[in-house]
This record gives sequence, C-alpha cells and structure tokens, in this order.
Amino acid sequence: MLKSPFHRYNLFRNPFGELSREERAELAVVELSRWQPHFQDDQSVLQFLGHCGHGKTTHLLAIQRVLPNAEYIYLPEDGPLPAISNRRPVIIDEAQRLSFWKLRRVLKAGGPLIVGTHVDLSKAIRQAGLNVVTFNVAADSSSEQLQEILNRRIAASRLGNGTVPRISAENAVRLRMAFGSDVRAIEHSLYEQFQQYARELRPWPPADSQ
Amino acid sequence: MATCRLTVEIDEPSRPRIAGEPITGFVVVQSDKDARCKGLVVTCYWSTHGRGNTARGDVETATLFDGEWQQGKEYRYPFKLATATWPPTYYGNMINVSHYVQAQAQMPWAKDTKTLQEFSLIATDSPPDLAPTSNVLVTRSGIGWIFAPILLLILLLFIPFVLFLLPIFGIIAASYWIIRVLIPSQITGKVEFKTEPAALSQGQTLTGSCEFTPKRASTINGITWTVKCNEKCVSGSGSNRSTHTHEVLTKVQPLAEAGVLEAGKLQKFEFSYVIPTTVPPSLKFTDNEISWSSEFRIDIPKWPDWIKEIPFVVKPASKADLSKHESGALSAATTDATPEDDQWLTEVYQQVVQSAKNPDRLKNVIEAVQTQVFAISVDIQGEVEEPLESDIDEDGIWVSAMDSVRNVRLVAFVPQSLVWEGMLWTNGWQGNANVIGFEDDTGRIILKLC
Repeated sequence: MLKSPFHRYNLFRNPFGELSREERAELAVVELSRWQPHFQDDQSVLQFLGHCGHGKTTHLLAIQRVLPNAEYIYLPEDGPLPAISNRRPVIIDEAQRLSFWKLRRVLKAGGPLIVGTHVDLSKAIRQAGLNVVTFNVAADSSSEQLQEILNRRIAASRLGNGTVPRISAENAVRLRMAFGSDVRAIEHSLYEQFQQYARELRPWPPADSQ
Repeated sequence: MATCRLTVEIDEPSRPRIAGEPITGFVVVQSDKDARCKGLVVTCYWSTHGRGNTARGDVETATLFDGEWQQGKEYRYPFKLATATWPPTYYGNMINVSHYVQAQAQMPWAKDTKTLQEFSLIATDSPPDLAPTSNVLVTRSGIGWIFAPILLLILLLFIPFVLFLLPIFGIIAASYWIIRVLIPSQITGKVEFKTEPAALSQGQTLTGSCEFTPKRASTINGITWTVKCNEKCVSGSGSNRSTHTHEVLTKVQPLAEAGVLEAGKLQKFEFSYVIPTTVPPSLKFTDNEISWSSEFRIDIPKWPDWIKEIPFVVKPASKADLSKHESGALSAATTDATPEDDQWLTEVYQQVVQSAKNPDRLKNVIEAVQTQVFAISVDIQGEVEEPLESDIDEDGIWVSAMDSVRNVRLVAFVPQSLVWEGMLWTNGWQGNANVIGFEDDTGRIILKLC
C-alpha cells in the first residue's frame, strides 16, 4: 500500500504513535520556568513522582533540553546499572532502582540533581542534608493540559498548510474521565481509534467525541 | 515567531521513485522580513512511524543557500537528492515507513524553520541480512552438541547463580520438547517439512512439501498449511518496553480432512502459494519487523498437535518485473468515456445507494446494470477483505477505492489477470468496471474491474 492513509487529514503520520526521544522532549507540555531556580542549586534535588505513563520521563527529557550539559541516565530494570558520575547537574530516570548504598553515594555528591521515580525518596534525600522539591506528575495534570499535549502531537504531524484535526476540550475531559492522568494509555487508545478511522476513510475525530 | 515560510515542491509528487532514483524539486522561501539564513539545508531521509520505537535513515543532505533574504521576496532553490534503495514505503497498522524531503532554514537567534514533503519509494531488492537461516525443518545440529557442554561448563564455573536457575530452564525446555516434539511424533513418526525458496519476490510462488509415515494408526482433525505475515513492533524501553503484533495476512490451506492415519502408510503433501503483489515485503529494523512464515500443522485430537513454522523472506518485485507491470498498466488504463456515460454512472451510483435499505429494489437495480461496462477513474487505496455480499469465485484481490469526483466510496474486485504492482500507487486509476452490489455495513458500492 503506497498511498498514505494520513494525508487526507493533512497529517503525515498517526499523531499518537511513538515519538523519538528528541521529539518527545520538544513537544512536552512542561512549565520549566518554575523549576529553573533548582537547576543551579547544588543543595537541591528535584523529584518527579508518579506511576508509569503519567509523564515523569517527558518532564526529565524536557529539562534535559534546557540543560544540555546535564547527563540523562536511565536505570534499566534488568542488567547492570550504568555508572553515575559526580558531575552535576545530572538527571536520573527510574531512580527507585538505585540500591540503598548507591542512592547514598549519589546523594553524597550533592545537587543539582533531578530524578524521576515511582517511590518517594524524600526521606533519604533529606537525611543526606539536601533540600527536596517533589512534583507529583499525576496530581498536577488537568484536562486542559491533556488537550494541549494531544493537540501539540497533532500539530507536530502536520503535512502542509491548512487545517488539521483537533481534540476538543469536551473530548479531553471525556478522555480524562476514562483514563485518569495516564497519558500513555490515552495515546494508545487514540492511536488505535485514529488508525481504524484512517483505514475506513472516515472523518476523525468522531463526531460524538467533539 | 518564524521569519520565513518554507515549502518543498517535489517534481511529479504522486509518482513513486524506484530505489535510489534521484528526487528533484524546489524549496520555496518567502521571508516576512529581512533575515540572515545560516544555511538552508535539504535532506532526503526515511523514517518508521507508528506504534513502535522509530528508526530513521538519512540518505543525502545538501546546503542550498546561506546569506540574506529580503522581506516580501520569494526565492526558489532547486534540489536533486538521492533516494534510499531500502526500505520501501509501507503503510500498515502498527508499522509505517515513509520517505521525506525536509527543508530546514537555520536562523541565528531564532528557532529553525522546517517543513517536509513525503514521497513514495519502491524497493527492487532486499538487504541480505533479511534472509532466513534455513527453509528446511532442522532436527538437530552436531556443532551445537559440541559447543553446548563447553558453554555449560563456563556458566557453571563463573556463575554459581546458574546452578539454581539451570534446573528451572531445563525443566521448561524439556517440557516444551516433550509436548511439541516427542509426544506428537509418537503418532506421526519423523516428519520432514520443507518450503522453497527461502526468499522470493512478490508475485512468485512459495512451494512446500511434507511427508511422514505414522508410527501408529490415529484419527486426526485435519492437516493444514498456513502462510502468515505479521507486523511486530516494540515501544518504550526498560520496564516500559512492550511488544505489539498485528496480523497482516493469514491464508490457511487445508491439506487433509478429518479422518484416520493408517500406521506405516506414507503420507505426502505438496502445496504452493502465490505471494500477492500487493502485500508488504519482509522488513526488519531494531524495534519494527514485518515477518513471513509458513506453518504446517497436524491436528491430533486429545493429543498435542505436530506444529512446525518455517520463516521465509518476501522481497519486493525486481526492476524487470516492475517495467513489465508498468507497460501492462498503461494498456489497461485506456478508456473512452463520454459525458453521457459519466452521467449514467452517476445515476447508477445514486440508484444503488438509494436502494441500499430495500433489498428487493437493490437486487433489481443490480440485475439491470451488472452486465454493463462503465469507464471509471478512481483512487485505489489498498487491499481489503472480500465483502460478505460478494459471490465471486475467481482468483483476484479486493481493493478499497474512491471515486473522488462523485465522492463515492467503492470496494472493487480485481481479477488476477488485472493485478499488477502499480495498481495501488496512483490516484486517478482509469479502467473499466461492472457495478455488482452494495456493501451494507460500510456503505460502499461493489465493483468488478474488467
């Protein structure tokens, strides 16, 4: 099949597919200015807390974009953990996977340190004599923010001049009611829906979700 | 705020490029104010997109300009870039491959402005690393038996942890072998199953054979040979990593009905399958894959089935095949429609749609027109399933199509003799067709190309 099913929507791809790391950071809906003071503070740890799919990694990637000298370290679930140097600032994703001793060593080197974690590490951070600012990614989300996240994705998939589909405020509210603040689950659901509508040559978004 | 507007204009934008064929066109720049451009860079690249992690390959990059742009002026910069030889353009469900020309204006102290234009690419061969290792059922490997104890020794010496895990892995492997190989072979005896060739092009025939002599008499529910094509992709990384699969094609060929296998009597089956010209070739990227395989299954009641799957590679049609199909396409596209014919076709479409809710009336309308030949011009949009309403019993494929002039959605049967590689490439395909029905659940008119 050589004819793009997406062009009829003035898009060059399904907007809810997987993005590259760079593009994910570029499209992040993150208010970075509020974190700016912590990026220079060598006594500060910025902690992004939340479950899978709620936006921790997106926050970290967006911060890395404005801190090009900061190293981004992802701690895998299996296999050996990568070495964490004493260079600062450093961004550590999935920081709950640090062992007690490794976490102590990382905190001993001080800040600025930015971590994404499923488990609250504030107690250990304070015990190390550092200040901690915790940001619960799920608690801070809203349907307006969700609408912007989804519409940015659509805009980034624009093919040419002219209009592209949009997620309405009502649709964003409905999606939030169905999936909560799990943005990944929302994107997966919209991916399947968009794919089906494109295959069937139907207008998207469906009339009943606008 | 962007200071300039970029547009990429590709020459003959709807014509697919054949692997490596240069692509030409213009980058058009309109500047809102006097501006300095550090570099107007144009890149030809391919990218995967969809459910899996993306892959990208840059083919050629050129800097077309650097200097000053004046407010209100339009500038046109010609470009000529090489295209990739691989992968071909593909739009699937989980995996897509697109080729683009991207223009990017690098502006000092401002965000770069960029735009892209997509084009289709047809590959004429596959990279060698897609080739499967074997197309014959492998029962055992002598080399493996030599290296296995050495590997085991190393593991035992260096990883004491293995001592704990090894029995668990051993039990799992042994259980699998007992259920999948040992128990079924108590009935089937030694089964020799092979397919050839290991790699073939779209339009070519995959053949296979299987023979076995049952050790003892047994009833079977049937024997089948299935050709499968699947999309498989991986999204995320680490603990967020998940695998998604989608079935692109599954063709089951029954080889034997339910019955009794006699002990000691040789069972021999030969089978073949023509790879359609419209299916995707095998593709392989780090996190995205389209794989082909064929599976032979002896369905034994109340007993583990004998199953073996052999992968094979589907390559794109060769350059020689493409030119043959292209010349065929030209001769098939000749039509002579008068304005009266056009009007009559519009009326027939309207009659069919208006009769959709009245089966008797629809039947009358179809009977009245189904032998008439209409000259049509449609956009063909890909292969689809056969509509339930169809009773065509011929070799061929079903495609989804659109009559853009009349804004009518169609589903059309294309007899095998009319199927050629180029038929899904272009908008405005022209040819002849009969109107033969209406697909109720999708609201599409059913045509048969002729």
